[in-house]
Amino acid sequence: MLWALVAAGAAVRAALAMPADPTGQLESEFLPLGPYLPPRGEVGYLEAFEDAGGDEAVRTHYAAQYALVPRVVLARVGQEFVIVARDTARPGGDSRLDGYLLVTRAPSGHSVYRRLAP
Amino acid sequence: MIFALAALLLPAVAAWWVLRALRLSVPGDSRVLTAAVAGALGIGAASLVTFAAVTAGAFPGRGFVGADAGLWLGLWLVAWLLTRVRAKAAGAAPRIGRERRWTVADWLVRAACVALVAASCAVPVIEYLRSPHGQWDAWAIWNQKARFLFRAGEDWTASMSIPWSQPGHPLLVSLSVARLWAYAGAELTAAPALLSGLFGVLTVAAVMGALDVGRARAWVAGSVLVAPLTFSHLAAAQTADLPVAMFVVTSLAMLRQDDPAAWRQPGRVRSALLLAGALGGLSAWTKNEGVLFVAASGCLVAWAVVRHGRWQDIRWWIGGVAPLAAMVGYFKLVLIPVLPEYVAGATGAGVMEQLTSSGRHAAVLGLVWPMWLSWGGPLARGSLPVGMATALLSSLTPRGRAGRGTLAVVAMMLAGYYVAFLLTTLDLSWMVATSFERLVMQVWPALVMAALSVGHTAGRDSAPTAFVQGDR
Repeated sequence: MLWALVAAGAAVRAALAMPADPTGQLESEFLPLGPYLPPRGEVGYLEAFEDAGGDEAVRTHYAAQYALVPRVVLARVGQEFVIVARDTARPGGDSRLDGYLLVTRAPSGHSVYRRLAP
Repeated sequence: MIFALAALLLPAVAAWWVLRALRLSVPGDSRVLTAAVAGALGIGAASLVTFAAVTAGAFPGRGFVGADAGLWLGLWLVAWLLTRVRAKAAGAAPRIGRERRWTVADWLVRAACVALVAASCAVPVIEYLRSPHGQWDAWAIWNQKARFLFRAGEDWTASMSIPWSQPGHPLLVSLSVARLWAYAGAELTAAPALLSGLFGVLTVAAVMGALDVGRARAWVAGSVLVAPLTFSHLAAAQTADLPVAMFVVTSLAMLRQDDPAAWRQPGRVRSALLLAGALGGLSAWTKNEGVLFVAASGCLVAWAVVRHGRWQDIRWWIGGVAPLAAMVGYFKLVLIPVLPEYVAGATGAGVMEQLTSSGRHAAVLGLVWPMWLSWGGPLARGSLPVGMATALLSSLTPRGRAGRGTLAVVAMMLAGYYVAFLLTTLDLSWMVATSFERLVMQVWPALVMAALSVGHTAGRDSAPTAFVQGDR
């Protein structure tokens, strides 16, 4: 019982030391893009031009999906609408966005692009 | 939020009265265990009703909420009336109290357990304030699916095209969250947090109720169960691992054989097997690992009925599990026919090679061993080896026989996880690192229950508070 009490105290201490989760913040950053996207269906998502598989890049993509449900946010371009998260496009012009036009950019830096021709 | 609370209470209370009306008793006739079973069945049944409403295009909306609430209230009323009628017909039965004299040690154990549970409750509150959307898997999988259900209704199946969101996992948790949101009328982050905490409470109640809260060992079990950070962390996680643990331990609590005489009473056998089957089936409706539990507990039930020479009794267990198994089969084979990502792409030759490769076994053991030693979190290091050793040693004693079946099922589940590690097509290090802690939690409550089953004879100890058919 003594061990259990000590372990429970350590658990509370560990919980207090945990950092705040950024998911809520990321979600609120992507929500303003919703009105510029179709209400349902698939939309594209531009993967980060470097370290696309890193934790932060993956978290940002997943948070975009979480915020924009019931749309399905696919990690590729080619759809009529493409979400470009902050700092994911190559600086100075990203060839993956050729043929797309900026529709809106949220204060957070996340953007929606739309294909010029079907 | 009040409506979300009502959404949780209505099916649980209805399930409580249905258990009474149908004279389905739990081993030891513990009210605490009965409450845990009623809560578990209530959540599970409500998720099935919600799934039917989603499939019929009647979710969400006020119409669903009204019909759902009416259904549970109606069931509650019918079961209550049936119970009253039967009680009157049977006449008033005397309730015999059990005199207990608590020692100082008894009081100390109970006080320590209360302090421990209070401390453990603080962890989910702290974590909710820091991570209101839950842990990574909560918002990437379970709550995300709940959003699809809540926002898109019958078009929720669009979520199956998101491979990283585990489309093949069943829907109990996500449906439950979406249902709470439907009652609340908004996507409150507090709703899945509340549900997650409730799964923790029901788990503790199941273990303590199964071990008889009148005995000190139940309070020790409650303390040991909640002490590791892993438990309170998962109670805050809003994921599906603690729900699986809850269904696993409540199902196994139905199958414990403290008092062999109980197996000679047809009513008790019927209750135990029917409830164990239904609760096991709900674990499979919660997460893929629940299917493994159904297989393992099915082996235990088969062994028990054969051993007692009453093989025909297995029909009650099958009767409990079959509807849920059919639902899971429909979901996994017809609706979302995708393989879990951890075995996707595996070939027959590859499977055999990995199963027989000594290098693969060494790699798995090398990764699992340090995590096995350190499982539990800060200052709980060693709790898993100690818990397993205690359960094993106690089950080898004559007085520890009640824990043998539970321990056998736990062993089968751990063996299943080991095979999954052997066969996974994902990066093994990542797979073990991200899943070991959660997988162990799925069996931790059952392990604690087995470890503290020594010397516990529910049938004899509970005899003074005899079960009164229809009036309890």
